Amino acid sequence: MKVGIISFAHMHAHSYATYLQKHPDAQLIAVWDDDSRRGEEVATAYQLDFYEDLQAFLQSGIDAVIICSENAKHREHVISAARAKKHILCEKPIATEIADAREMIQVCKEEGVILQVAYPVRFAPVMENVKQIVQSGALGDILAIDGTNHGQMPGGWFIEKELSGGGAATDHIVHLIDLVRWMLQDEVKSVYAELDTRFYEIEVEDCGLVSVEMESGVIVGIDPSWSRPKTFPTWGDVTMRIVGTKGTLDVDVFKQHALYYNDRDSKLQNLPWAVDMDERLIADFVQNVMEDRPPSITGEDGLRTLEVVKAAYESHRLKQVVTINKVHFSS
Amino acid sequence: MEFANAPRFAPEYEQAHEQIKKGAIGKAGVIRLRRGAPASSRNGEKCIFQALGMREFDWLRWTFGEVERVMAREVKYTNESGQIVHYALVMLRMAGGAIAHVELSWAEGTEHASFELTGDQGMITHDSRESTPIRWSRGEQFLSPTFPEMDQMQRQREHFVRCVQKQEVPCLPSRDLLAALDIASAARESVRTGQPVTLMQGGDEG
Repeated sequence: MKVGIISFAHMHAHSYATYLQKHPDAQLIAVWDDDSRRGEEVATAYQLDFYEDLQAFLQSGIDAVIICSENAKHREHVISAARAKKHILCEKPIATEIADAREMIQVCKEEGVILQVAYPVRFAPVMENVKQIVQSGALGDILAIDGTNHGQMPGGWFIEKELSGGGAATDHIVHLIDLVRWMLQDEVKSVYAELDTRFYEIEVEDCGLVSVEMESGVIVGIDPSWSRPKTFPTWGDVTMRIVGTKGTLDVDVFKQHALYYNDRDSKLQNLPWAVDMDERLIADFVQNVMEDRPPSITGEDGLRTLEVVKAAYESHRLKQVVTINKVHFSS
Repeated sequence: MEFANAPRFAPEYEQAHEQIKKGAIGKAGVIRLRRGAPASSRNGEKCIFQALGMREFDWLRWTFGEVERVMAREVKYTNESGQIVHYALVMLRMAGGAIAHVELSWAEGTEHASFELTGDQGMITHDSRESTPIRWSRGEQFLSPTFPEMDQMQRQREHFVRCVQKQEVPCLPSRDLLAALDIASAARESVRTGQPVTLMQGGDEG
């Protein structure tokens, strides 16, 4: 199967490109980018054909695309790819507006193409294990989850609201919500958030806390802050404490690493040795396309998480708990 | 009047307080505090915010000033053997602008406490489970020695004696105790109404 990448604006594109090239059944052949310098650079690095024209790119013989453009451009790129009958793996968040996500899902459905949203943490073997423990009932009924998805401040277009849709809340709430929905098969009922810009002189929020109640009554705390110092030994974290009626589970998804005291560059570094979740996400997407299977992480999964982000912003504005009004689809 | 068992007498919390006051982490951003103990049948009547949370609330106020707004959620479950699993998540907006997360848990294997204090110039972390200098394993048994001069109760007793002898002024006056109680009751009120509770108008609008 032949694959193209739409934009390398999001740095995850490099990881996806690497694993596509390693995959025995996938051929990464083309790249489109609205930054032609970046496009030409990656075309040289990965030996791809670079296209300046999106329609020409879509007609280059590819079966599927991976979309790593800036968040606000996902809508345009997903719809163009779907109209050209290409299967799609779209970087998270699915979109910056609920109406956009809804339209993207609708068009992909009309065109009969796969729309999968990239939530790679589901594919971390640690998380698969945790999901299994939770669903086995070994912890009893789940009562509460306290999670973090911390990061360092990414800079670039991530802090330009027109392109990213927002800061740390947009970037990081979605991962935790996706994992909670996936593990518990439950939906968010209400959201409260305190957001702020306290770490950097930037225009978007760089920190906050989110308090969620699920429809089942499970309570969830989320810390999506870009609060990791520049001296932190890695990019960030995904952690969870899961409290059940029969036990409590502490999870640190990226704990499998050695610690490197690096005198050569005067820094402390985590050296991860875990199975790479991006590699497994790519393998899953390739298999879904080749075997004509439904996506493992659907557009609706992307939409549900985006609704929570929007509710967090609204709650922050109102200083009140906001109840989620889910967008439903007429079938 | 003095309030027993405050973490401001625990050396790691006292040190963290001093570091914050010195500006070690710069402008405070997100402050995370956790305190946990095993589930028990005796916690049934207790208010988790008061019984477990007072120490964290007092330390937060002592270190970062007044609390502007409190949002709390709580879950409770009594299992077949009568043990009560009780867990609460509290979010506090400090009047100075920092945002604090307090996890209170009666759902743990052993007692523990941890903090993660972040600001625009650094981060200070501590976890009681990773601060054991001596681990003595005998089969299943773990022994963890205590150090008298670092013992929080002992330090508090000594401070009390010095106050009575008028060598020191009480460092935890009753008005602070009342303020921490106010935060605990705001958390209770927030659980009851399902909405945040405002304690005072603060600085996050500026």
